[in-house]
This record gives sequence, C-alpha cells and structure tokens, in this order.
Amino acid sequence: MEQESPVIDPRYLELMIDPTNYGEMKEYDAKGYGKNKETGEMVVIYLKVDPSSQKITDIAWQTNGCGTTLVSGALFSEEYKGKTLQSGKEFTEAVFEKIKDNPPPDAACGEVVARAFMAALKDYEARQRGEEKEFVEYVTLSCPVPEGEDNAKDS
Amino acid sequence: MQKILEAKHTLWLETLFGAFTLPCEQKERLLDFAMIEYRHLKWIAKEIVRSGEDFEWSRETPKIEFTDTKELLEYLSAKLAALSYPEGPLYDRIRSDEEYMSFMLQKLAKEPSRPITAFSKALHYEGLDAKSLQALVQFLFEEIYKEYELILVYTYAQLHTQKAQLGLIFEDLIFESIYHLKSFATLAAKLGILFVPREVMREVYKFEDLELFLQEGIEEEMAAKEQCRTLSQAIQNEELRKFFDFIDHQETYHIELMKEALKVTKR
Repeated sequence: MEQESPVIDPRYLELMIDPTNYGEMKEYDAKGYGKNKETGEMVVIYLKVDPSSQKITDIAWQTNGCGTTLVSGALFSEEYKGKTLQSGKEFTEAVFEKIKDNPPPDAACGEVVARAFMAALKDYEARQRGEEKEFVEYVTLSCPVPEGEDNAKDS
Repeated sequence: MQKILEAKHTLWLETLFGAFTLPCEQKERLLDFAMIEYRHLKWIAKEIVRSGEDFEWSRETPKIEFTDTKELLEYLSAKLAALSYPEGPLYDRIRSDEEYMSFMLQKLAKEPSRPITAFSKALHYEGLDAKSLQALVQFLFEEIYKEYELILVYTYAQLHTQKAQLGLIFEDLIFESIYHLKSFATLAAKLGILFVPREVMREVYKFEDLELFLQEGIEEEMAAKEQCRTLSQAIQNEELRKFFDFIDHQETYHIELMKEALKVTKR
C-alpha cells in the first residue's frame, strides 16, 4: 500500500531538521538543567535577560533527548523568547498543571524542557545574589522519581 | 589547536553528509575521504590531549545543501585547498592528504553534474504505507543523531582512557556507529530528509561516571533493539524488514561489547 500525503507535519519536520534556538550560548545571564533520571535525557537552557525590563532577550538550548524533546525544546524556546521572567514562569507552571492533571504519553519530553527553564530562573536569582552554582531540576510529574531522589535540588 | 579541530570537525561532516547526496560511485569515493577526515580529527584531538589540554566537540555550521553534485564537489575541493596548518609530521600528513583529496574532488566535479534530491522532502519509499513511513522517519531522526553522538562520545572516551582493552572496545563501537550512521543517512537521503545532526552537548561526552554512562548506554541499545523489532514487524518492504533485523542483531553484540567495557572499567 502506498503512503498518503502529507505523511509528516511539515512544521514538525522542519523543527526536527533545524530546531529553533538550538545551540550553546557562550555569554549568558542564566543557565539551567532539566534531567530525566529514568531515561538519561537532559536539557540545558541558557538565557540572556534585559536587567531593566526582565525580558528574555535571547535563549539557547541543547539536548541529548528524543525527537519529541527536540520539538518541545524548539517550541518552548520560541514561547519563552521575548517574555518576562515572570510570564515565562507562569507559562511553565501552566505546563506543569496540564501534565499533572493528565500526562500525555510524551509528557516527560516537554517536562524536561520546562524543568530546565525553572532551573535557569533559579540560577538567574542566585546570580543576582552573587552566588554561582549549577541548578538542576528533575522530571517528576510524567515519570516516577527514583527512590531517594529529591527534585529541584542544586548540584 | 581547538580552532583547527573545529574546522576539521566541520569538514568531516560536510564530506560525510555530502557523500550521501551523491550517486553511488562518487558517494563511495567521498565516504573514503570522510573516513580520512575522521582520522585526522581524531589525531588532532589526540595531539591536544597529549599536550595536557582538553578539547571540545564544538564545530562551525556544516554546509551540505547544494542544488547539484558539481556545486558540492567544487565547494569541498575549494574548502580543502583553503585550509592551513602548522608545521610538523601530523600536519604534513594532513596537508598531503588534503592536496590529493582536493585534486580528486576537482576531477569528480568535471564529470556530468546531477541534481541533488536528498533534501527534497519527497518522503516516499516504495511499498511503505503512511504509518510505517512515519515510524521510519521518526527512527531516522533519532538514530542519525544518536549514532553521531556515540561516535563523538566513544572517540572522546578512547582518547582519555589509559586502559588498552577499553580503548579497543571503544574502537569497535566507533566503527559500528559509523556503519549505522552511514546506513541510516543513506535512507534519509533516499526519503529526501537528509540533515546534519545537531551539536552534541558538552555534558554528554564529558561525563563524570563511565560506569553509569555504560549502564545507560546498554539500556539505550536495548531500546534501539526494540525500535528495530517494532519497525521490522510493521514494515511490509522485505529489504527494509531484513535491514532492521540485521541492525537489531548488531545491537545485541553492541550490548555485549558494552558489558565487556563495564567489566574492564570495574577492574
């Protein structure tokens, strides 16, 4: 049987080939890690923030994750760019609420990106206080957390 | 030397992924050249480690999208000719290799040019229904990146281990991943969705715990086996079905190699 057309959403295909904002940022104002202990997936997010408006002026991110994480990262990064830190936080909390109520099968892939953003917010706040450390947040809502692991701990 | 490494990394990917856009006889020639580029890359990285420094797998953005084969071959030939290196036995060897490769690419560029279809997004594979095709595309996107990641991770690990036996296992795994990458990228080119995998994040290859890395790697290989089995069962096309069975069995041996590496690490 021959395939029908279009087989893959063209936007999805585009993001898989060339994910938006993907890469490392050398000079950043905040950096956070999201990790999934069950799958080993990891996302790092870098933010450049305008200090007066608190707007995210630039964002970069990287992952070793699957295709869904890649597409989530690209879409979330588009969402975050231009938002204030506070509205980025509100958006992320809304994502968590949605996952908490009814996690879809690929929820962990979106959650790991959202966790990385929350870790970056913590890093930004710490940097304002003159502290420098690495912030990691773990996926909890869409995957069971391994015994003895606390979320949102600093590493 | 990090800058030279980045240029070489980019050139390796341009040659390798450029090869997948070419007709068969030119493709084989470019794949040989890509292998030489990979060895250069590894030797430069080894020089950096030997000097007491460390290196990163960062790179420039590789350019592989061209409209016809002549354009690609001329681009690669010119790029090879423009590179410069310091003096010394390693760089003399690289210079000599690149002079020859640049000459041969110019020669290939004089052959009749053909349009490149590897980026057409045609998404057609004879005998595949829409569901199988979707599964295949998803698999290729994930596995092309994963094999590239593994090549870089194992190369980095090999250059940093003092254990000869471990080094040999990494060598085997590198060559296995190179073969898988070649097979998957050839399929992607046929479907018109060829792409260069995204950069590998530093945290992935500069891991802190080799044992944990190997344990996670074994789990990933098992997941890849499962994906191959699912694809093999879902796909009607006999050649593709046999291909995924073959890859599935190769993954079984990768797991054995990784278990062996785990044992050596614990010694």
